[in-house]
Amino acid sequence: MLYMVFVCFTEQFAGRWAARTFHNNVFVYNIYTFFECVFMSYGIYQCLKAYTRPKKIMMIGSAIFYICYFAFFLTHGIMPYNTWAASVLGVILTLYCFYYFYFVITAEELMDVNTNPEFWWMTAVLFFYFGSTTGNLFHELFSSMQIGNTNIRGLLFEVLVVIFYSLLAYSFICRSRQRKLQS
Amino acid sequence: MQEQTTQITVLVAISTIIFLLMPFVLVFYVKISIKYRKNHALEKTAMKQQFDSEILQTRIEVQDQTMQSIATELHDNVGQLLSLTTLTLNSVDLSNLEKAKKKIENSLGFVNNSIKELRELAKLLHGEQIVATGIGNAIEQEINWLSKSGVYELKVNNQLLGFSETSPDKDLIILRLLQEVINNIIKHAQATVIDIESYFRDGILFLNVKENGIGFEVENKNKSGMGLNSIYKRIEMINGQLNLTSSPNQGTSIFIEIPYP
Repeated sequence: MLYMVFVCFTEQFAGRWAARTFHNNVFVYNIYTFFECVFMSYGIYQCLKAYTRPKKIMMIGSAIFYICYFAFFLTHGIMPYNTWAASVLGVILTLYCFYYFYFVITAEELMDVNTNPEFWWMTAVLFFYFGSTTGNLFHELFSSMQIGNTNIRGLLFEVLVVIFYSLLAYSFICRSRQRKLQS
Repeated sequence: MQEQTTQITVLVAISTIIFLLMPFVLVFYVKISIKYRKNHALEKTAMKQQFDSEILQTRIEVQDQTMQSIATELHDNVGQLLSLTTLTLNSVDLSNLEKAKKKIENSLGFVNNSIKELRELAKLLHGEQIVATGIGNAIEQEINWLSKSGVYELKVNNQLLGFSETSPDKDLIILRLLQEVINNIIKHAQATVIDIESYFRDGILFLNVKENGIGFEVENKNKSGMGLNSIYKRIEMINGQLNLTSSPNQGTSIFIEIPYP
């Protein structure tokens, strides 16, 4: 929930304020990416710890991400979009998701995937970051292509965001039901 | 140049679609895989339950068989001996000491025979648990019991005596199979010679029973007849094989192969 508040704040206030003040709000999203990695890694850690001790791989993943993150700033500054960090984050989180799915498939205890909140949360993450990897790979191309008045990159991310938040909402519903049943 | 740009756009579009579809495929695969594993687990549980229930049924049948044998033995053997003892003792005339002494000695002999028979019976009762001491002993016990009837000429080659490996569930089923085969011979075969052979080779336990009875046309005989159905079912349950050959007036041979233990 805290993460959602943070996302809304970035999107609705910080992003708009930066766009008005500096005519470019990309640096807000660059800063947001820093916290995005922390939140997402923590969520994945919570899901993975049911199957393994994920501390080591989470730390390795985070280290790779932050090296790329700061290396980009040192070489390009904070104003352009940090494609290195975004791409690396997408790949790392996607790999974590694959790792989680591997456990789901091979675990002795069979999961009821239809109502499992962790599964749908991870699915949401997989959809968004796997898809966004494409967006990041073809960043320049998508940014220059238009369908009518809409930028292709923007359109792609809008679709991904809809899928992401729909799955997150469903995951929260599952969690709420699970809590009610447990109480 | 225009064509090249179109090609790149198409390529990018295809790879984007693939990237977007991949998670769908993965989630679908996970769901299918879990569903398949759930079904498989259910099937396994059902099979285990069926196996357990069959083992229970077999155990009950082995107990029934033992009880029947004991009842027959008590009625035909020990009962007769004790009746004879009573009759002999009743007819003792104490005025004729020499005759009385002979009758009492005879009675004593009958009582001793009864005790001996009762000991044999106790062994039979123990025989129900004998399967735990090894399949070879259990088969031997069954053969001893058959030989006591004196009706059949038995040719026995039991190489499993002293066989060290055990498999409690399989042993119980094998013993019951032998009992059923012997019962069928007693009830239907009208045989005079029974040849029983058992041995173990290369992880397979062999149990062969041949007799020289009236035989039957294997093709015409329904499997469900003569208790063959339950024999086939049990053989299948322990992944064994049964080969039955028979023809009218030529006797019947049953060859059983069971992976063991």
